[in-house]
Amino acid sequence: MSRLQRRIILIDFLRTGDVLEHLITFSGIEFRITVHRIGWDFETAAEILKSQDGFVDGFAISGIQKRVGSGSKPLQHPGYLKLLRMVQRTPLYLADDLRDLFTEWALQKISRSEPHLLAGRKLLFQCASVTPALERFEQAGVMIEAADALILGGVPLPIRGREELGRFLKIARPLHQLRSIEALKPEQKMLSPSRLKALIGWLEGADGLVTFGSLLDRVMTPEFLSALASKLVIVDYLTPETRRRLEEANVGQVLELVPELPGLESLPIRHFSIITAVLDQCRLAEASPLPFDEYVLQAIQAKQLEPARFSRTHRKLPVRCAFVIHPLTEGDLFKHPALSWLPGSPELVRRAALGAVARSPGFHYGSIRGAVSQANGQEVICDLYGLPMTPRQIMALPEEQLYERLLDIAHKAQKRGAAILGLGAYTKVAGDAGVTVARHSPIPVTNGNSYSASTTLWAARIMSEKMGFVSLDPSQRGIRTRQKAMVIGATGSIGRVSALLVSLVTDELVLVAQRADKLLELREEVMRLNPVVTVKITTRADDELSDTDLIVTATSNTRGQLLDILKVKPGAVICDCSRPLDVTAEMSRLRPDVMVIQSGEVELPGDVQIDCDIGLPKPSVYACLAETILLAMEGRFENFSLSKTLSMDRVKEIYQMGLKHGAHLSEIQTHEGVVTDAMIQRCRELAIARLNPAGVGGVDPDSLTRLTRSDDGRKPVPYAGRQD
Amino acid sequence: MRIFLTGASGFLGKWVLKGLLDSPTVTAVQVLTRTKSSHPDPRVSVIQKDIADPSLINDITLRPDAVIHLAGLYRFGSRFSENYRANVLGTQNLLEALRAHAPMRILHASTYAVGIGSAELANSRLPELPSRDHAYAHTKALAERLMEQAGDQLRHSVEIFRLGILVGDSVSGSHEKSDGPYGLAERLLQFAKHVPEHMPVLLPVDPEALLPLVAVDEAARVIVASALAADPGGLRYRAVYRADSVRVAELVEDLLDEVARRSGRRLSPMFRPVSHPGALRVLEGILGAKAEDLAYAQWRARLESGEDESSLTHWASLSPVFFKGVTGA
Repeated sequence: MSRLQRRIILIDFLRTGDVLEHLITFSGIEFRITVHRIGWDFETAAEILKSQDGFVDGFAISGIQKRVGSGSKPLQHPGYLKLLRMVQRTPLYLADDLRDLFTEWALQKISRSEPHLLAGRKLLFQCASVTPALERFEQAGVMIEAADALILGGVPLPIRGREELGRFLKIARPLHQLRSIEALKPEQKMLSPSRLKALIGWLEGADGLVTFGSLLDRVMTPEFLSALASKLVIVDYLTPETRRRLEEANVGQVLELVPELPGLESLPIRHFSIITAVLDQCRLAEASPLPFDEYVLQAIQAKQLEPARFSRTHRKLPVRCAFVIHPLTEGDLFKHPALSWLPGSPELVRRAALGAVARSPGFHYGSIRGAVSQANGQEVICDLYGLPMTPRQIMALPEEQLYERLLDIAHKAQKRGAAILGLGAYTKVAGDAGVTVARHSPIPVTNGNSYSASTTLWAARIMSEKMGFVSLDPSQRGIRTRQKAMVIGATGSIGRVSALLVSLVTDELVLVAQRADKLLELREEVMRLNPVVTVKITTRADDELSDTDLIVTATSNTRGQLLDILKVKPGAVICDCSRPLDVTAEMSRLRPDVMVIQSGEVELPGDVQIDCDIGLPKPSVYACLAETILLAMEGRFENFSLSKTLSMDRVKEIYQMGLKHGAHLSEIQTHEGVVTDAMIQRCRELAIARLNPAGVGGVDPDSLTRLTRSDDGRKPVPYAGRQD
Repeated sequence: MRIFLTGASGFLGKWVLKGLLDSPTVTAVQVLTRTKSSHPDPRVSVIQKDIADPSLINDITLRPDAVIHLAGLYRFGSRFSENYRANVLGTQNLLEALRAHAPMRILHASTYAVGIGSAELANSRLPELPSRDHAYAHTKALAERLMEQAGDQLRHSVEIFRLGILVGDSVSGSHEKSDGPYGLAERLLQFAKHVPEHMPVLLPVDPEALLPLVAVDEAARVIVASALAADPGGLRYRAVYRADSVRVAELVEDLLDEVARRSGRRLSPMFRPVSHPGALRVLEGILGAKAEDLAYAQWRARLESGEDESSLTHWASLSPVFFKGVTGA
């Protein structure tokens, strides 16, 4: 191989400034690269080309390419034709071929390894007509919004999609033929205040930008950089200065398409045309018999080149997930403005309208934004999709139809860029709790039951301690309480896991369900997990209520009263995990000495904004919804909680994940609203009075700990709840 | 001493060559010129070639002790590409040709115009380039940067001379081109023949701006003296003009006095900035001079001159010779 220095002249049509010179060594060959930054000036380019033709080894061109437009019939760039006529002896290197190859390759890799990065994202293309691999972008789920009409013609209308771009080029081509290529001057026109303002406006509504390094350099005003914060930038290459400015602007992620070539790292302008020139000169120096395309293929293998590199700033690109919700009652449906007239209408009309509404497809109902992990800074956007059916309607629907409706939502969510789908309320109760949906869904699925179960016990444990009627078992190192607990609906998905979890912290457990065979099986499972706990099974909850301290209900009961509230022990805590609630407000009012709480509400980390009504005070969310978001924060885009059988490992795992990312139990809800110290105190006093109705002297109510068990003299856990 | 000289056939080059040949220490001068093929002085060898011709590298036979680079383009109305070719590609080509002889001592003729658009021009590296709209200034600034890079990378000793507006020599006042202040003077003389007395003359320039004029022979003397002196090495900037040179208003008054003396008509100057580009171009056509060539209005010129300033003639003494050059009398 020749050791003589090879000279390359790069003519940059999009930048102006000093003439630069760089020395690099690649594959043992020294290259001297002189960069003339002349802007859109064909006359000066002609002077350079004509004077140096035959005296240098190659001309590389930045800002002009061979082809315009994508698809089967791209047009030849008139600037390229002009340049070709200016040289006779020295090869002319443009970026197209290599850039097309690496862009296609990069997008393929990303679509496989990080599909959520591009799927559903609206990306602004600064000049789509000269951007390669547009079809590949669309296949990856990108929504193309192009600024070509603005940049080239000053028309402030975005072009949407390849088809529209094709129509634009058909119209634009004859118009451009009426004026010379020299008059185009894109690098100047880009900077006109009105065009820049329009571009920034579009960028603010997009998820990211696809551009070229030389174009990007021209428009990086402070306002433009501000619009790029937290967004994705896909660019052919960046100069060190541009990279620094993007990092300062907190750009979300930067994807540089140019490969890392050893020896070229020090070159500030790693334009594809330079890389083409360098590779071809190596080919010539080696006297390789291979044509250029084949030589490149061999070089990629030999040097193990990779197609693109990511820069990630500390701000991560938001990840999107989705969650399916539905109204829990007809009253929830009536809250919608379009249906608000229904309550006053005749029964027949109301039924017909609700039936029609129930048949309509799922729709994007709203979004939750601003959830940001405290552990890794990952922001998650959750799109909520509404299925306009009540629980009764969902349970009455044939399973196949329900799965179809949910899969339709899954596809919609995926198009919008969701990486995982959560199933809420009855959409996970009906059918097989997500198994079939997950099998056919384009994105992973979870039914959220693991976190629901986890937060159930969390809420129950906190409230039991706050009520102060139970004590910790000293032999169990403060983990287990001396209390009798009951789980109603114990053989259901949440009930089973609740039973297993409660068995860890109680010394007596009653399991209540309809199916005796399942109860027997569950009892054995609990005793295997916790041999020290006393387990009783029954199909009749009422028989055991009088001395039960903690009751967890986890049923899908839609038919009637689950338990006789009047038989519940004073001072007991009922943790109602079911939706709709098993213990109604009316039932709760009958027993003000019993604390009835609703579980499952979670507060996510970050400044969470919910733009719709999900039936909870903002910013609380349901635990099953929180599970979906936590998985997205963790980057666990996989089926997590499926079927009606919960895994204890998954329950523990999601609980730990919640702690890690900063989720916590939100204020505990009762029928009267958020639990307060005063409410707890009032409930305690009423419970004490009921337990000691005669007011026998010498008994200090505050000294009472366990009121039905032998007292070991230990004081209750001091209450330190919310102050009014 | 052996010298390689470019631009020898130009307005300044002729004087520099004369100055070199007047020195007994100069033993050989190889000149690069487009227009001549020989020189009567036996010490002089001629390369007849364009400065931007890359084959120049093969033609430099002299191993010079110093290179004086004067070749470039200064022509009113020339296109950016022409300026780029002569001033940037030419300089680059010269540096390429000298690679084989690096390190080298280079004396490079630049211009005070590289400071256009700046608040002041100091004897140091330019903090930024002048706008591309000023093709001459921009390309001469690019050429300075090339020289600086050559100094940094190839360890050339580089001396950059920022010349003022060259006017006729200090003895006869004879000049070559009728542009800049000469163009203005000649146009005013023509104008005065046809208009009534006290006719206002619209001048789109700042009257307080400075015109750093320098007589061509004096500029050449500075360059030659530097070339023949010991090489201090490194990178140095020399301003070849008087920082207290003539104000535009003063020059115009003197011009109009001369016009009045010759034509009997005293015109009245009206200094008004003209912002409309079209109108400005028309006026410049009439005046025969670009407004910014006459006065860089944004730059009231805190020109920082060098130690040579005291050797340059002030306008007050230069003006009679200047008008002699204008009128030929």
